[in-house]
Amino acid sequence: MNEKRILAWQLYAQTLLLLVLYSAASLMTAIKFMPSDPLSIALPYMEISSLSHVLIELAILTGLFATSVYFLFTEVKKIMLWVYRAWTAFLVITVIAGLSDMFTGRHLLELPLLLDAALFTLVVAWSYVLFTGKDNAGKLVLMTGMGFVITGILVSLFPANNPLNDRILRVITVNMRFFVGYPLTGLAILYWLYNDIPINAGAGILAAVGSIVSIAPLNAIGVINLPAVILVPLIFIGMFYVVRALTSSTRAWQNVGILLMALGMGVLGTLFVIPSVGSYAVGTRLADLQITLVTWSVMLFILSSLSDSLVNTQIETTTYGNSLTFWLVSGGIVAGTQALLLAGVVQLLLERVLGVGYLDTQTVLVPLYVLWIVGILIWSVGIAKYAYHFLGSGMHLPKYRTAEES
Amino acid sequence: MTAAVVLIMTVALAGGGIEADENVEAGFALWRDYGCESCHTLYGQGGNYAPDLTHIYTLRGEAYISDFMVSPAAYHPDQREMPRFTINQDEIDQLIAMFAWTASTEPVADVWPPNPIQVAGSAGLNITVLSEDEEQETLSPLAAQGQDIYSQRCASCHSIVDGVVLVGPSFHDIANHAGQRVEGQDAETYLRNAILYPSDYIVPGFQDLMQKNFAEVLSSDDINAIIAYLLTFDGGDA
Repeated sequence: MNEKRILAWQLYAQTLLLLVLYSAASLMTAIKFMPSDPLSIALPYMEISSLSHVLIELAILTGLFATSVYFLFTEVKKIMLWVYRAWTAFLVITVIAGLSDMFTGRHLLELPLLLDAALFTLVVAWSYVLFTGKDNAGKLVLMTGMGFVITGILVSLFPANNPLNDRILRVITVNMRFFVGYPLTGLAILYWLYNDIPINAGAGILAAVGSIVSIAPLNAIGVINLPAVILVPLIFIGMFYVVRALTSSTRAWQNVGILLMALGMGVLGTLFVIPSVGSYAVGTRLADLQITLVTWSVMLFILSSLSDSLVNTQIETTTYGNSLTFWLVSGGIVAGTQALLLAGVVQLLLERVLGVGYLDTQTVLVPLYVLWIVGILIWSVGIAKYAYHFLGSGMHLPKYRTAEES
Repeated sequence: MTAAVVLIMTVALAGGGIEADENVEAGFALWRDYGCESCHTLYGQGGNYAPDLTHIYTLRGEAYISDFMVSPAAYHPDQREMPRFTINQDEIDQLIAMFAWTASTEPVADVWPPNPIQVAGSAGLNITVLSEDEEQETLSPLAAQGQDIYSQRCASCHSIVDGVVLVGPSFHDIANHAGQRVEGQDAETYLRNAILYPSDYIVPGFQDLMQKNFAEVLSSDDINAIIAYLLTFDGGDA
């Protein structure tokens, strides 16, 4: 195993550790939706939900760096090692800050200013490092996606001074990251894995669809007025093309990721982009589900890169991405997201159309939240099993040294 | 598309077009500092673990919001409980200023949401909607005056729909059962006393949460008008 693979392995190990922590935080967050929660005051929802949001985004970023290092480099440069060390320190500090209740509570923008600035700096540093890697079409799409992510982080450093301006900024910064930036980086991973996808056209269409989906909430609440008659066909045609181009009968992890992307960007994106429908759906469980679907879609592309093609990152074992692990992870995700989808539809009908109070609607949704928790439990077991085998395979790794240090 | 996004972003960053006074900005800073967005939504953006507060000022009024922030545990028993923040009256006033601003600022205020989002109870079920003319036909001038006061002072806590409890008891059929609550007091007397001395007239199953200073803030005419309006609730459709 060469140094590049060891560095990739270390970043993948961090990804899986973050995912395990995220699983635990997600489970505790979901339990908060039950009627009786013994920790309702001792561990407020805002603390645990903030932690889970930060963990999944850091897991995605770390997984992206791991996959990019693996595919874009043949050997490790000294600067990569420094960035990796700084990133590791950042992850440790951030997790400690989250466990110490130091996050801000801004939904999906929870990092305090200093950590947000550090994240911006490190993502820029990683992007620079990755930019020096091998030139190919996938790298161009990756850098474009990272550009959206970096812009999103940068804009979030400057919150506006009143609620409406802040909401507009928030929609743009969060959605630019989750609906344009990360999907593009996911597409780059698929290109590196399979090489047979039309990446330039796919990236253009995905970016266009993501941009439409990103601004849909502003259309729904009346800040801007774009006609659905144009936007809806664009989303449908775009997602049809993307799904047709990317799916294959033999790529299990990737196909589940594509399915989630199609649901999040295509189906829910269409729902939100029609103002007369989206205005009822904004702020319901469906909005949370949309981000969850796209986030997990990219995460499955990353796991796909581990399970389908990078088994030789390991010394001996390939059991971490086996069939049972796949079915636990993907089955749990599908079950959990289906429960959230039903909860969102019921919430929309009861609370937004029929005028039943928010709290009374939440009581009605409890059985669906139980299913959601079951789904999280299932994929948590799958992720734990995956991480256990992967981390166990690293017991025999040689001591890591850069080319310059050797 | 990207250009449009950047344009919107730039306008928002500069604070152009949509402005707010210092109190609103201070209230919004508190909203961020206390992490309210982690649970609540504003304009549909946020945590979705607690109700959307875009129009809470219109739906509940200042007194309710102020009391709720001081004693959140007293409201909505057996449902999600908001943590109690160490918040002073100045901060509460600033947050209320922010809520008043969000409920009235265009372009969103008149557009979103299409239906009011209630905190608890139900606003939309089994309600017969009367046109303004029909309402005027069914109410005396005094009761119509009372309706206005009710909507400003009472509606945030008392529903007029059967079985729907917001904070205090529903006023459905109050004209018939108010006279049976306390022996020797007819409906009008009971209602007047309950408004003036709410702590002495707590309906079983409810807590002592009603505003205590109606004797100071309402004139006799106002109270007569409210009572006249409440006495129109005789069990028919609200």
